[in-house]
Amino acid sequence: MNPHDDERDPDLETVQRAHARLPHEVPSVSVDAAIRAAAERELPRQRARRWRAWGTAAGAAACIALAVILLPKLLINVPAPAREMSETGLVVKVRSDDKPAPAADAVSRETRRQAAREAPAQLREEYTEGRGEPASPVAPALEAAPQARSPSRSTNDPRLVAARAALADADEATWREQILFLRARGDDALAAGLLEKFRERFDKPEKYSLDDLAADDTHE
Amino acid sequence: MSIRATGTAGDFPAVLFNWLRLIYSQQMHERTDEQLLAAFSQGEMTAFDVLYARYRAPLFNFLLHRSGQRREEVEEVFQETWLKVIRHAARFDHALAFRAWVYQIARNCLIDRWRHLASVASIHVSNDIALDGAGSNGLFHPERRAASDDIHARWHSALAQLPAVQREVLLLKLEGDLGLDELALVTGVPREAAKSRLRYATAKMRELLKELVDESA
Repeated sequence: MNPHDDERDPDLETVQRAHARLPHEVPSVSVDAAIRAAAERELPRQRARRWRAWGTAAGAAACIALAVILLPKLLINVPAPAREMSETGLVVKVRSDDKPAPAADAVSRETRRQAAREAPAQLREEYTEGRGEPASPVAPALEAAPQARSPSRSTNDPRLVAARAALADADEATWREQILFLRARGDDALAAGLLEKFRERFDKPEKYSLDDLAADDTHE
Repeated sequence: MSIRATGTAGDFPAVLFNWLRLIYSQQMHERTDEQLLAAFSQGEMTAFDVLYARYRAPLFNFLLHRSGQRREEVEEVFQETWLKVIRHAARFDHALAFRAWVYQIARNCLIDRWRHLASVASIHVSNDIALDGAGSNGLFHPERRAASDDIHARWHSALAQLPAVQREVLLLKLEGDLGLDELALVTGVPREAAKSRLRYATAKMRELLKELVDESA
């Protein structure tokens, strides 16, 4: 009796007993063999199906593993902040797109910035370590020029006028070197004044700063 | 299966192999029908052998008694049933019971066979007529047994007197041991209808087989 059939049927039990007395027929051996052969023929297809299932599962697992490994790396290379701040805190560059800067370019820029930060200190070292100042066309002119009352970037500053005159025939590299030289000496106002002239003379953009100049100098 | 699991020390690999086979075989026999079918659909031939051994006789007897056709024709239907099981094993819906599924396939194969025979004889046979007419319209008689096989003869004679739908439900119950829900599923009728068909069939069979039943008691 099937366990689902909760009701006990005496008629059914009687008929089942009578049925049990009957000899049970079985299919012939040739039928058994034919069915078994058909099942065996089906096996390669069944196995192929099983391998396909395994392959799919393995592929999915590999994809997940790859995603887990690569995701942190992808997240590290997120786009740089849209605004870049200068050392003084001013916004010097605003990105117009959201594309991340190429990694190599970013590294190069950072290296150049670092060098630019270190350049004045190196220069100061060179000038104060007893090796004497390098031949500078600006230095004698500045010494000869009368001191202004206060440091200024005014074009009428006699020191600035003298420095510009000394650099009148100099090339771009010399200009940069002298501006950085003045900066290293702590003469920031004069360096800034010369920078303005440098921008005009060598067609540099308005945003071209002392840092940019130092970076270019290091780069070259 | 007789497997010797004893031997001398020199036969150790063979003994171990036999033990492993024995354990595997026992484990295979403990599996449910559905697990065996799943194992076969994964490529295990042994699982199919066990499953086939379970249903070989009951299914064949169901077809034999239900169809009333010659043994050779029943064997064809039997074979066709198993071929369908083999082909569709991977698509078997495990929410169903394998037992109900295989008897449903067998029943459908039988109906297809009746239709085919009827079309050969140029007689239109609908589903109901096919079920109803197999034993009563004279086209398909139950297999006649030798006169000496008295029990068989009386059994078949009684069975032939049942309406086809009752005969079918009774045979599914006796040969396949299907529950009421499975009977309803296989025959495509509500559970209560299957239940009443079975009740009428058993009551009538008991009456018809009174002498046989008394002898067995």
